[in-house]
Amino acid sequence: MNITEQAQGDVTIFKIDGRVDTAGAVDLDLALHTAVAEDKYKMVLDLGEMRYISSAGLRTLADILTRNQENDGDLKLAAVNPKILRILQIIGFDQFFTIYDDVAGAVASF
Amino acid sequence: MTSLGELRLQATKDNIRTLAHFIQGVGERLHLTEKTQFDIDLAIEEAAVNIVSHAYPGDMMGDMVIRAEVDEEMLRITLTDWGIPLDPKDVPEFDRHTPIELRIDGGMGLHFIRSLMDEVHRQATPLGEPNTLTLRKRIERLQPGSQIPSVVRELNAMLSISRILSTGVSLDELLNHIINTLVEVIDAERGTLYLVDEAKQELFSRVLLEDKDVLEEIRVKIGEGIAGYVAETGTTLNIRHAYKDPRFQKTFDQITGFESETVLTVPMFNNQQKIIGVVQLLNKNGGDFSSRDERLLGAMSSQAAISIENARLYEQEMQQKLIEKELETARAIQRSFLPYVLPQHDHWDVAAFWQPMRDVGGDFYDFHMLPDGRLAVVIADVSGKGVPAAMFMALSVTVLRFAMSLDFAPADLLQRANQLIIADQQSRMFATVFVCYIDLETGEIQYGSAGHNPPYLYASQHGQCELLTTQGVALGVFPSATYGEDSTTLQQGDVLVLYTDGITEVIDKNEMEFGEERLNQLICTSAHLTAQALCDLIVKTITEFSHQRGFDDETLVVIKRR
Repeated sequence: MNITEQAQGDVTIFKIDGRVDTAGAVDLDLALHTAVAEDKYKMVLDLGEMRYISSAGLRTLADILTRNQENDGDLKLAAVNPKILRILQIIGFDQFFTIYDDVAGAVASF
Repeated sequence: MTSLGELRLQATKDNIRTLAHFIQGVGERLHLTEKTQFDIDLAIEEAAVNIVSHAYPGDMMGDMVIRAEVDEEMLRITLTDWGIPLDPKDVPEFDRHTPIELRIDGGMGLHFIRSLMDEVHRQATPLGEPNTLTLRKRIERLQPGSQIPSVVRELNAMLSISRILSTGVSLDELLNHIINTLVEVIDAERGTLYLVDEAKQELFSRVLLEDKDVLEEIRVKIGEGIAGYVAETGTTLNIRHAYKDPRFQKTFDQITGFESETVLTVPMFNNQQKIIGVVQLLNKNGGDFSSRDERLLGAMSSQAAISIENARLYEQEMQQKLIEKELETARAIQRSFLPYVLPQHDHWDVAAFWQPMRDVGGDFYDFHMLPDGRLAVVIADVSGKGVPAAMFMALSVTVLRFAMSLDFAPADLLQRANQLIIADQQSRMFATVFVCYIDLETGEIQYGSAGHNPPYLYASQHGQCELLTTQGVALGVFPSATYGEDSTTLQQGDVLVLYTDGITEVIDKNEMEFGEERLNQLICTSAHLTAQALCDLIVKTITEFSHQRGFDDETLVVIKRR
């Protein structure tokens, strides 16, 4: 799994490639929490190349979302593939996360 | 064979010493080399301990007889007792893989004896008849005229290290005992025993003599200082003036206020010739550490290495047993949360399947009679596996049952359960839950879901399945979450199938998932079966489909209205 970070104005974009399994979730957790510690509360996750996410990964997303929203920010999801989208819908995360077709749209919405 | 003597004694601990003296006397008469004497003394002491402890355990009393004979090159010693025989069949060749308790009880002693002597023969007979242990050793004699130093004191000390193992002490106590013994025997002021930490490539010591206030853990990099040098190279260092040696590190003296002068440091080799630690003695009383001290400390340290390795193995095995016991207990507790008996009713047919992935799982199902007479059915999937997931499951079951007993409708139930769960635990786990209340007279069901896979409702009238979906997020994530609910009716012949994703996510060798479609198909084509038969069929089908089971917890509940 790979995570790359990029800034666009005051929005931080994290591109996540590959499988976020239990080990990957630890890395994801670290990357996102580090950004939070740097007061970067406006985040977009580019999930175009993310093939799988474990429950640990989902947990991380939920925690960061809550954190960001408490600080007038957000965690938006972009380019989610149909399989992952279905998981998010079943588990009910689509009621809490805003999901965009592409990164540009997500960034613009801030 | 020439007889060198025979001694008959009561088999008591004190008399072990007398036996030792007898054998030393024999050795002196034969002018044995120090090494030969050493080995024989050790073997005899072990044999004697076996007799005192095992042939006559507890309050049992009896005699032991030692006899020594010699011919040209062979010394033969026989030990006889009339107690409980140590059955040779119970003690095979010393096997590293034998459980440590067996090793400690009898095997260790015999192993020592076998490694020290050239031949060991044990003859056991029923209780009351004599048991004989015959030891043979090819003897090496000293050249005439050379001194035979007395080794009584040192040997007794040495043997006490090996013996302590059979009393099942902890590793720390063992280390303490070893270093105290070595300091006393070699006659130094103080000493430190270091063990190697492989991962960090460091030596660490948890044992310090005398100054109990200064019981710190000392850590030294392998290669640094005198101890580090010895650990790295495996050579013995005998230093006469510590402060003149550039390798000597003054820091520990500074901490303890001790002034090191003479320092003897030897490596500890285990049976595989691997350095597992270092023993360092400071300030020999009355002079320098002699070369004899070097040899003796070296031998005793390696002896200690074996004891330490065994103690470590013992601790590891005990810990492993504890973990296994815990898992067993956890599973039993978890199983007890699941309903023992499935509801029985004239018009309803119920079946369930539960297969956790690791010994303990996070999936569960539950049946609960509501105050108004309806049957509540719950299926849930806790994120994670193993013991933590099981504990979270236990919490969730409790919370749900409690909330159900308060007459909450599904949407309310899930909302409150969510809040209770979040309030009550700090873990990062969450649970997806589907709950439905079934009116057993009318077939009406009211249901809600917290992020769980929608169950299939097969309507016999249409010959098709529909999914029961409602809106709601998994429990334990968002405190402000609210939930939807809906209702429908099961007619006669209808089937409700609740499942967790462990069922649909089973994969075949091409990494294809079994998937919801296949499950749907299977239910539609087999809905005429009884609930149990359908349940079994689903399990059988995914088993045949799958390349790799045991990937995720699998749970199924099938409810049919007759």
